[in-house]
Amino acid sequence: MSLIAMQKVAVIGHLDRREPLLNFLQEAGVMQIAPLPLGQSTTATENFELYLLELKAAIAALDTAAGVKKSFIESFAPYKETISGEFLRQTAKEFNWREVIAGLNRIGNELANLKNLEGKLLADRRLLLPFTKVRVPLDSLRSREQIIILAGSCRAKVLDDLTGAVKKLAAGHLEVVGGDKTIYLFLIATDQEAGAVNALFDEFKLEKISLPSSKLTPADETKQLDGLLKKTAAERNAFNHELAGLIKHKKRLTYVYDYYLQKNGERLAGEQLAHTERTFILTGWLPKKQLPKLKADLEQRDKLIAVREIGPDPKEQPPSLIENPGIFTPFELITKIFGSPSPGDMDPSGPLAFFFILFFALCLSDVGYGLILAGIAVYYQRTLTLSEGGKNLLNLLFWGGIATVFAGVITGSYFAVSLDSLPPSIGGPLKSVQLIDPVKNPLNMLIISLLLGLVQIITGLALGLYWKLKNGEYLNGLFDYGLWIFFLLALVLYGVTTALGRETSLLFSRLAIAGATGLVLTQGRNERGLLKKAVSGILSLYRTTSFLGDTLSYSRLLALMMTTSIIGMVINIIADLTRGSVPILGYIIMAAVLLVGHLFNLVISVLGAFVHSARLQLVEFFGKFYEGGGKAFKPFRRETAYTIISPK
Amino acid sequence: MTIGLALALFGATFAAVFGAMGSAWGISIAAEAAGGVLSEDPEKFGKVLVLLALPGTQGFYGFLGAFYIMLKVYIVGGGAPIPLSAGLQLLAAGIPVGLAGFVSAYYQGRASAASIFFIAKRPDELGKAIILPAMVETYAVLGLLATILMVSWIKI
Repeated sequence: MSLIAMQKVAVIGHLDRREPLLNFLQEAGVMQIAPLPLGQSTTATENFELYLLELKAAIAALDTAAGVKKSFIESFAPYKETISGEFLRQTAKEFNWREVIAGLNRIGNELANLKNLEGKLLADRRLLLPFTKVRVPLDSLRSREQIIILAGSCRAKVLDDLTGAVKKLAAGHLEVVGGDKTIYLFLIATDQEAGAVNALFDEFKLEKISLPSSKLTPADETKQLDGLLKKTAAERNAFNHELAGLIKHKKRLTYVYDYYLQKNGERLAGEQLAHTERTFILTGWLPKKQLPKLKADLEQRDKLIAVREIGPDPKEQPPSLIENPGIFTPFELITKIFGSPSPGDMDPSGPLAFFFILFFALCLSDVGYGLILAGIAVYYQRTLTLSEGGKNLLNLLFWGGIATVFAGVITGSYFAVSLDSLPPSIGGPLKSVQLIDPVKNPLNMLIISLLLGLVQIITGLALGLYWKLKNGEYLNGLFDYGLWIFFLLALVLYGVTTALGRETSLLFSRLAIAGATGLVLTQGRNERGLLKKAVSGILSLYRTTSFLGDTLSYSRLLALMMTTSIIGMVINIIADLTRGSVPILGYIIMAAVLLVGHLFNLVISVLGAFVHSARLQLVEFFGKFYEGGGKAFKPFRRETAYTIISPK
Repeated sequence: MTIGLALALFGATFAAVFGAMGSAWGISIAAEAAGGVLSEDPEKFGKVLVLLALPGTQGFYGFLGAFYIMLKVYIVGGGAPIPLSAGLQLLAAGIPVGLAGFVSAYYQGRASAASIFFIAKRPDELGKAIILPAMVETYAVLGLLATILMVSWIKI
């Protein structure tokens, strides 16, 4: 539940040891390299980034060729094969991946060319199709000296008018080829009347058709085009077949990709070092407790490498790494959404764990949904290859599911089935453990929600107080946190006792006034001048409204709880209606409605429960005591896209 | 059927229709952004879908409000004889979730669209991207809460 102490070190060594050291650090993954200003680009002659681009494009092309479709879940957690680093290196060395990529590029180009050609052939064929009855070679159907021959089409209803107009030309002829709604035709005239012919095209909205040139008649040309199309199709098939033959290389390409990803990482890290003629120096951060092991690993094995502890640069802030006992680790996820703690800040993952799970469970609060959620989480934990974050998320959902079961028992919700409709032998015992019925009596649940909010807000202030006291800022702690806790508690108790008509309300009102006076006197202490102190002291009481607003924000717990249970109820009602709709088949429809409906409700409710519980932590809870602002520790380590490198 | 019952149903209609319209609008705004992002990188579909779904809740809140009113007036059994004044009250109770849902869903759609662009550039920050639009949703939740409390307290 705390930040880990970090140590900055400098590693100095002979240039010979540079590459082995980077390899070692990449594999160990314990140190975040701090760039040195004297860094220079390395002598690497190979352009790893280009390789990576080529490989990625090739892998994508092979995936498309193989028709690989990623499922929704896979897009979050793609499968990764566990493999040794040595095997990756071997594959990159021995597998002629450049040949595969060259082949892919060639096939890609050929297929693109064929596609263009096919497009052109098909377009020509489509133009020719209405003219196949014409028994003259296409070349003789072109304009020549003194004669204009134009192919075109017009709408059927203007044909009569057009015929009349053509007759008015000095020497014009309209040859109708055929067509139904659209009429295809040739317009023949002398070139002296070119202007008049163009005017006809405009007037009757004729479309000019430029037929392909050929020595054949349209019918023969079409036949020839068909032949060519068949040929291109055959060629395309051949290339696709060749492409399919390359699919088997995909796996090895991914190995090569991951290998070069390591090499590129190593190169980028290398650029952050500084060099002299014979030596290099590398600076970086690592957890203090890892230092002895690193020293042992490096110095004792090799006399040409030295590890020295150094201080941070002026204004340099160590990176933040938080560590929690196993059960709290998943909740670091919520902290990280907000931002890592800065040095000297506390890690809120532990304190938020309890509230997050409680709120999540209240939002879902259904025994059935809780069990399914926990089951799904366990299933995917077993079957998917997950990143650290993915594992944490599933752990979080698992515990959330378990807690939801308990919340469901208390609210009497089992797949949103009404307990009254169950036989008394089952419904009775279940009802006896039901403490709240949010649908019938939302007010009780609202009060519980707001009380929980109050508890969390006071806890937040108490954590702030604790942290200030721990860091020796006694006055700041007592004035900024202690007094507020005192004032708010007195205010709430005053409200409660007044509402209940108890005599103790007088005592609490005096305590509240005392608290308020304390705040007015202390909250302006950092201002200069008596007036400014007084004004900002009085204005500080305005913060009470923000506490009120924060508390009301917890009313969402009730709203989300009701959303889950009422939508579940509606699904049950609809399922019940379908049951009697058709004999026998009705039961199947009912089962489908129940399955799909409850799964859908589960998904949107989990999303809502997660988002809103997280928000209550980040906004209402963190706002009281946590600032964040740290930079997360990002050690230099092996990054992979397709595989997981097994440790040696 | 009494006029009061009709008015109460009108309240339910208002809640359901406006919540749904707002969600449809909000999701369409987010979907336009999503289309652009997916054209560059279809692999982000899963993440984008989560953000896209966020403005969809108002439709459910509206429906929930409507259902709560229906439950109150026992419409399944043909409807209770609701007096005019109670009908008007239930009509009024349908407005908070409908209107707050309608407007907040539109704005949540815009916030979701912004988050979708955010995730396009920084796919690892899904957590932060989800929280931003969720801030807008708070006010639809408050609308729903107002409706629920009113409906449960109205005497018929």
